[in-house]
Amino acid sequence: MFESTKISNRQIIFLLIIVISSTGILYLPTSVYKEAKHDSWVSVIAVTLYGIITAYVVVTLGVMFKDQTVIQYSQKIVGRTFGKVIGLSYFVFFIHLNTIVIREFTELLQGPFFAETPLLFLTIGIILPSIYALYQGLEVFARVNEIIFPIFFLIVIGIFILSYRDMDFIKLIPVLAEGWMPVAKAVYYQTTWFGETSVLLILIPSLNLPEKVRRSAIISVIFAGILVLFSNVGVILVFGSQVGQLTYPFLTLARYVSLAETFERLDSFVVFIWVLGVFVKIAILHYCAVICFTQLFNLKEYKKIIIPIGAMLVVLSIIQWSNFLQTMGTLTKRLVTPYGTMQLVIPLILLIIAKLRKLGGRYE
Amino acid sequence: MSKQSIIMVIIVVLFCFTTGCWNRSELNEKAIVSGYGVDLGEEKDEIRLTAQIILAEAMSAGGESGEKETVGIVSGTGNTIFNIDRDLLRETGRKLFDSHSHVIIIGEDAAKQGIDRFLDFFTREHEIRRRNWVLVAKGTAKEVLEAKLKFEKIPTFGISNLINAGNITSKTVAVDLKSFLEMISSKTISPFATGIEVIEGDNGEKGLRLTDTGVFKDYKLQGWLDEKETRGLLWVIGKVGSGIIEVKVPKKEGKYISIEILKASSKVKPEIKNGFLTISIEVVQSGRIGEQPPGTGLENIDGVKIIEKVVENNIKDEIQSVLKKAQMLNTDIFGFGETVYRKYPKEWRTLEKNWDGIFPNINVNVNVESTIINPGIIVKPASPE
Repeated sequence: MFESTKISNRQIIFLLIIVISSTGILYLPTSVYKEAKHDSWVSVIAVTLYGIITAYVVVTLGVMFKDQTVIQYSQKIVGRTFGKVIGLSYFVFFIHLNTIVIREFTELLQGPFFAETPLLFLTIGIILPSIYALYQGLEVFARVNEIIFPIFFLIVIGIFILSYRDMDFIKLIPVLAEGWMPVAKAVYYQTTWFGETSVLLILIPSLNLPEKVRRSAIISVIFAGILVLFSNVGVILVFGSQVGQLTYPFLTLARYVSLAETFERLDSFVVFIWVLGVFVKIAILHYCAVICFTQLFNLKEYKKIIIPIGAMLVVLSIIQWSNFLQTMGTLTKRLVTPYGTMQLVIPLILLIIAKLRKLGGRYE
Repeated sequence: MSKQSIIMVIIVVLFCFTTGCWNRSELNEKAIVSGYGVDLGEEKDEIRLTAQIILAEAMSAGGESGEKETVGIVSGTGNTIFNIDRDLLRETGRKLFDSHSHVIIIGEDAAKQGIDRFLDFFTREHEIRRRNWVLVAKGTAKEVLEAKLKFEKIPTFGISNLINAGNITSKTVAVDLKSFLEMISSKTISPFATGIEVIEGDNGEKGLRLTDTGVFKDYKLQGWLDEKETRGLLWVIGKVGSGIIEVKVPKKEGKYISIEILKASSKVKPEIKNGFLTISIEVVQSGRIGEQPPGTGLENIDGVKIIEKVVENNIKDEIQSVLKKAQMLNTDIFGFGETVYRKYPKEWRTLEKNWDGIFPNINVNVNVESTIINPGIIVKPASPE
C-alpha cells in the first residue's frame, strides 16, 4: 500500500521538528507564562525531557514492528477487539488534534489579519493544499519540507537575534523563586506539543531506515525544544510581565523588531513561516488519520478517503468551538490528559505487554 | 489546445479574479494616522480623540508647494476610543490606518483622571505598533497635535525625532508603548512618560518642546519631574546616554564649566539587614571637558580632580532630588521593588504587600564615581599667559 514511500532520516527529523514547533512557537509562550512567569525556560527544558521519553517509548514500540503501524500491531499485541478499539481511538486522536491545529491556524490568520474573511474560507484554503500533498504521497511533502524547514528555522532564529537590542536579561532573575510547582504546571500544558512524536506510530513503516529513527526522534525533540525556547525566552526578555496579556506573543515580537528604523515590521515573515509550517503539520496529521482509517477497515487504496477525511476536518474544526478563547481553553486545559494518554500511556502499555508476550522483532 | 495551454489560461484568469482578500483596502481609501491624542471630552465620561492624518497627496507634491499643509487634524468625542475612531470616518471618508502612527499623546487632565480606559484600545488594536512613543501633554493633546515643528514635514514624526535626540541631552525620558505597558503590568513599578508642551514662537507660530516627565501611579498622573529630576531618574535606571553637566566653579563667582558625558552606567543593589531594607545606587560616569572659561584656576591635574569632585556632587544632587520627589509622591519609578524581588524573592512576598508603606521611607545610599578623561582639543583656555 505504501511500500513505495520511503523517507530518509533527515526528512523525518525535519518533519518532526516542524510538527512540534510550528504551532508551539506561536501559542505556547502566553499559556506557559501565565503559570511559570519568567521561569518558563525551565519548563521548556523539562518538557523537552518529557518529549524525549515519549519519543523513546513510541520509537521502541514502533521499531519492534517496523513494517506495521500501531493499528496493525496493536491487534497483535492485545487481540483483535481491543486492537481495533485502540486503532479507532488513534483515528479519533489524529482527527481531533488536527482540527485543533487547523483552528489555531485559521484563528491566527483571522484575528489580526483577515478580520472579515470567513473561517470556512481560510479552513478550506489550508485543507486543499493538504489534500493535494497527500495525493502526491508522503515522500513528496517530506521533500517539500526539506525546503520549508530551513526557512522556518532561519526566520525564528533571525527574529530572536534581531530583537536582541530590546532584550533585558535581568528579566529572567530570580530563577525558581516560586518553587517547582508553577513550572510543573507549565510543563503539563506543553506536553501536548512535545508528545507529538506520536505521529511516528504511523510513520515508522514509511521510513527507509527504521532502525535509526530513535536517534532522529530524540534529535528532533531537542531541536524543537530549542526553537520553542528561543521564542519563549525572546518574548519574555523583550516584553517581560506583559507576555501573559499577549494573544500571539511571537507575532507581536516580530512586529516590535526595529533595526535602524528600516528593518522592521517582520510580522509578515512570521505569517509566512506559520502558513508553511502549519501546512506541513496539518498534512502529516491528515496523512496519519487517513492511514489509520485505511488500515482499520482494511481498505486497499488510501487515496479514496483523503477528500472525505479532509471534508470532515473542515467541518469539525469549525463547529467544535465558537471562538478563540474556547479553542485555547480546550487546548491547554481539558485535552492535556486525554492527549497524554494517547501519546505516552497507550504506547507504553502496548510496549510492556509486547515485551511480556515476547512479540515483535528485537531492536537492532 | 494542449493541456498545458489550457492550464495557462486558467491560471491567468484566476490571477485576474483572485487578487485580494475580503477586507483589502487601497491606499487612496485610507487615512494614514501619524499620531493619536486623547483628552477629556466636554461632558462627563466623555473622551476626545484627536488623530493627525498624513495628507499623502500633499507629501508627494513636495517642493513646489512648500506652504501646503502636510497633515490634517480630525477630532471627535464619545465614550470609547474605538467608537470615536470609527466615527471619524464620517469626517474623513477614509478608514483610519494606524500602522504608521508614531506617538500616543495623553492630555494632562485625562492623565490625571486615569489612563486605564484609554490604553486598552491602543494595546488591543493590531494595527498599532508597540514602538509608538507615549507622551503626556502639558495642556491638551489636541493642542500638541495641532502645533507644527519647524524642521519637520510631519509633526509627530518630528516628535519621534525629538525623543530619539533625548539620548543626546539626557534631559528627557524615552518611553514607548511596550515599555509603558510593561511598567503598568508590574505590581510595584510606577510608570512614567515623556512630557511635551506647546511653545509660542516670536511670530505667534506654535512649536513643540519636550519637557519634564509625567509620573503615574494607579493609572493616574501623580506629578511631574523637572529636568534635573528627570536626569536623576536616568542616572538611576542607567539610561543616560550623553549630555552636558553644567557645574559651578567652587569659590569663583559667575564661572561655570560644562562637562560632556561620554559613558555612564549604574547599579542598584538592595540589601536587607536585620529586617531593614537599604538600597545603594552606584553610578559611574566618565566625561570630557566641553567648556571651561579662563580664570578658573583648574587647568592642572589637581584642578581636574576638583572638577571631578564637583561633577560627582552635581550628579549626586540630581539623584537625591529625584529620590526625594519619588518618595514624596510614593511612586517607585526606579523599579526598586523589582530589584528587591530579584535578590530576595522570599522576603519580597511580605514586603510586596506593604510596598506603599515601605518605599517612601527606604534608606538610599548614593555613590557616584566621576572621571574626566579628555580635555578636548586644548589643554587650557585661550588667555594671555
